[in-house]
Amino acid sequence: MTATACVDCGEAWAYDRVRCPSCGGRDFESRTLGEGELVATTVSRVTPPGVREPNPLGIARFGDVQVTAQLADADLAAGDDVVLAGDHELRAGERGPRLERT
Amino acid sequence: MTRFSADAGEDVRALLERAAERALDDADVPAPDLDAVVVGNMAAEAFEKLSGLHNALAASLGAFGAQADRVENTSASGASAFQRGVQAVASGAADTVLVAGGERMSAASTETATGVIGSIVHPEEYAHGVTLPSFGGLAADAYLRRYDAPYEALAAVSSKNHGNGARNEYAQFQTAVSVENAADSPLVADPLRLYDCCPTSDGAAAVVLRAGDEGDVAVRACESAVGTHAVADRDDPLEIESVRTAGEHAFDAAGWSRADVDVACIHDAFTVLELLELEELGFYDVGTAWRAAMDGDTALDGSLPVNPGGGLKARGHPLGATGVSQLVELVWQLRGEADGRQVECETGLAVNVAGFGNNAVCTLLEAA
Repeated sequence: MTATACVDCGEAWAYDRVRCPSCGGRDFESRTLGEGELVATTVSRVTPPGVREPNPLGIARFGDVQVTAQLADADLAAGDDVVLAGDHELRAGERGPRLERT
Repeated sequence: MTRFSADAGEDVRALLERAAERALDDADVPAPDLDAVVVGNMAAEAFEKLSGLHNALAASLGAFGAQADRVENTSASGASAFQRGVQAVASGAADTVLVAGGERMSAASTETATGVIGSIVHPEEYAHGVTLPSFGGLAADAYLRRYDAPYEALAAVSSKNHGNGARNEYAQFQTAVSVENAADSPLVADPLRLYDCCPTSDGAAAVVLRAGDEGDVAVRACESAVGTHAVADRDDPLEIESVRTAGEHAFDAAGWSRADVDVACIHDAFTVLELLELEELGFYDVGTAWRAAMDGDTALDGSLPVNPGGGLKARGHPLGATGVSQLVELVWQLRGEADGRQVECETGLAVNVAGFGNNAVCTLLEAA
């Protein structure tokens, strides 16, 4: 996964949107996430159909950008350095990266 | 309002009718006098394959010729319906408005209900299997660690709200829960446990709004604001900017300070949200609401009683009804009719939140 940045003002964000939240521009470029740090974690123990149970989750900050993602291991905690990597089945029909230790 | 319950045994149309009849009788307003009917409901199409609730309700009551529509703002549908009614009266478009919020969540399977609630989540967070309780868990993890607060602070909120619900004949849960019981309940999304999370519910609540100053409760402000969609888009996972903004607009509109509020109904879908919202609304400095909860400041006999009717936790959370039920509780409190859980008050605040903070509606009421 990559982050997106506004060519005009440099604002960056994680998830697709139609306009830059800062200047309203529509000219975007990709930016690699790089290394980040976990801000919060939880273990979701009552999960929807098609999702692993339990489902460790975290919010991680990569510079100006934050993402919510599954954790590669349940021992990860806030403050740990992480990267968003790998190709996992996140839920039935969805594949994507998880947060893992650097 | 109707008593909230896990399974009302009748469809949302019947629940809305009963709540509406009670409100019309209380206001002594015959249905043909209504200029507008606004229904707050999130997902009757998904839960019960029903649509056009507002037309069915208006026709059943006999409000022929009235303006009628349905407002959807996920779990803040009730308060948004109320805001629509307030704006109709304030603009002069209507003199007399019925606002009714309702939801019947039990009609669908647990899987369908989970899917309905999950549908409001940002797709990129949804892909990772997040649920609203897991957002609660992430926020609680951050809050307890950052402010070095014990889990018992959250359990204290649950225990308080259950104790209040036990005094409310309309509450879904009417049994007291101790801090120990709460702390011992199964984990749902660490560190949140069963007793930190509100239930799914069936129920409806209604109020009648009128132009002029003959009523016994005045609406001093009703403001709302959108926040981020994805929780990760917030600068800080402990921020709920929609609550902060809606609150600021409401206090500005009324010309009130926070100290002017005597009692509050706060959207406690999860115990940690009661604390975060109290801080975002400016009642407590950031990171301190947990102490107030443990010290009893927010109890019925405290300096700022919060959720005297039991909150979402004990009164229940039928999605479209909740926002209106908060206002019904405040009206009863302001009239002195909240038997067994009465607090001394001239003013009240309610905040109803959509999703995990995507949108918030803040209302300020005053005894007239």
